[in-house]
Amino acid sequence: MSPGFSDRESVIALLRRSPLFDSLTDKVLLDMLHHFRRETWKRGRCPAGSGTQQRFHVILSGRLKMGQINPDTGRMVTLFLLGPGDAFDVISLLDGEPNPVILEARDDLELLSTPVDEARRWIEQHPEFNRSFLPYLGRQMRLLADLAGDLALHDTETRLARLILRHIDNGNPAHPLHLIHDLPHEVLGEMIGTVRVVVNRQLQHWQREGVIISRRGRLEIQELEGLLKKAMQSIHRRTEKFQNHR
Amino acid sequence: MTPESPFFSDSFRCLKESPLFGQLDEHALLDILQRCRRETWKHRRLLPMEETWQRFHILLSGRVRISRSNPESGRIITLFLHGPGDGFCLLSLLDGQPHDVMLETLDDVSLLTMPMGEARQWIDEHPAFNRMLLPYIGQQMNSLANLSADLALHDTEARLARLILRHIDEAQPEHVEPKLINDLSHESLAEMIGSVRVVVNRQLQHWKREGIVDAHRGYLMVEKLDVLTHRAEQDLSRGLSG
Repeated sequence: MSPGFSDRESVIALLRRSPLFDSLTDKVLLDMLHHFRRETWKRGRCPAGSGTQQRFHVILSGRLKMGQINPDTGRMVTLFLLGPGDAFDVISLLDGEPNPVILEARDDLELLSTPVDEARRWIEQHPEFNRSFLPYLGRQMRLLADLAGDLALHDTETRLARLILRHIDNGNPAHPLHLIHDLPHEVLGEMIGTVRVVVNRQLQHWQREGVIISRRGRLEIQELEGLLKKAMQSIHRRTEKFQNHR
Repeated sequence: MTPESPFFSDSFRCLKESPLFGQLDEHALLDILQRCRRETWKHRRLLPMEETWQRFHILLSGRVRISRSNPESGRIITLFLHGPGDGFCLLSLLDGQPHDVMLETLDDVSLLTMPMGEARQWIDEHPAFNRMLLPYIGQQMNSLANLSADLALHDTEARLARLILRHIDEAQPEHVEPKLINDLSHESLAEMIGSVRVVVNRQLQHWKREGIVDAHRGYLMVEKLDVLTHRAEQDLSRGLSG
């Protein structure tokens, strides 16, 4: 990390909480930090062509939305909502190709960054990093598979229920929802391939049913069982419709 | 598999041509082959994931698709279509968890398999393999990201055009045969883009009349690559004007 950087220990403590880095020894983490520089980004869309694509980033604090856009309609789908301890852009780090994604900081961000080539060299020199890197890649890939599966197979209500269920923190529905608790309905819509008004209507409907509480921009689960049913019930609805039709 | 096996030299050649193993030295390839057992699976076999996720598979010949389904509606989305040289179940290899997917053979296939634990240990022992594994994971992630973005952002015509274009790696402008998908049924093509047989059928017939593709049962050839490329992008402006 850049000389003169003062709170190295607090950065290491943050990295220790990340599944990507928690199994590395202090020595390896210090070596890693030596290659990184500290950055801060203001909340908002990251300008294209700012050199972001040539660097590999680790988020220390804040959230980042990574998505693809249809330039003609302006419609966006969020592929990943990343938080502290996450890294990006993993796909272009891996395959060496520029990845046509849109990055948008949901909060002011604190980051570490290094040129992609240097990150690749470092990974090659530290095969022990594989032990946390490969499971992390597995999780990211699983999220993409979930998104594709949901978009192709489920209706909006089910997709929204599944999105919320995936963000229950530490398996405890009483905790604030991980990463998504305060997102505007438009951003939730982008995470399930729909639009603000649909998410808004659905959440209001669930609120009336007592399944969730949505107030002052914060989303909470009130009745987990109810939400679990919502995640499944479009399937039953469709079957009933099919049977009635027959 | 031992070097005395009648399948040894063919298997070795297949690994040499694989994007995942091709650059490994001979010693490492021999080591993999000796740790693997060879299996053959019949055409159109649906394999229970409870068994398959516990072994890592390297496809030698034929195609395998990995899909998710909505059991109640019977709808299917294909997440990966694998051909010779591909490795699966990659997700379970990476994070050691079962994956909620279906695995189905599209041809008679032959493959090499080894227990996941052993595959992970092999990766630990061969750091040079990372140079191929990481880009390969990147490509697989990229294809899932593209599938998700297509499903969320594009209409069926654009999704079908984009699917076909992703399976073309020749630069010639006409008479190009897409790889892996050229003989798939319209139903299987539909399952790769989140649509249904009748929609894919109608679209291909429409393109056929326009001379963009030549398609009949089990056969797909692109005749006008530039027009198809245009169709892959143009749904957006159509959506606005319509």
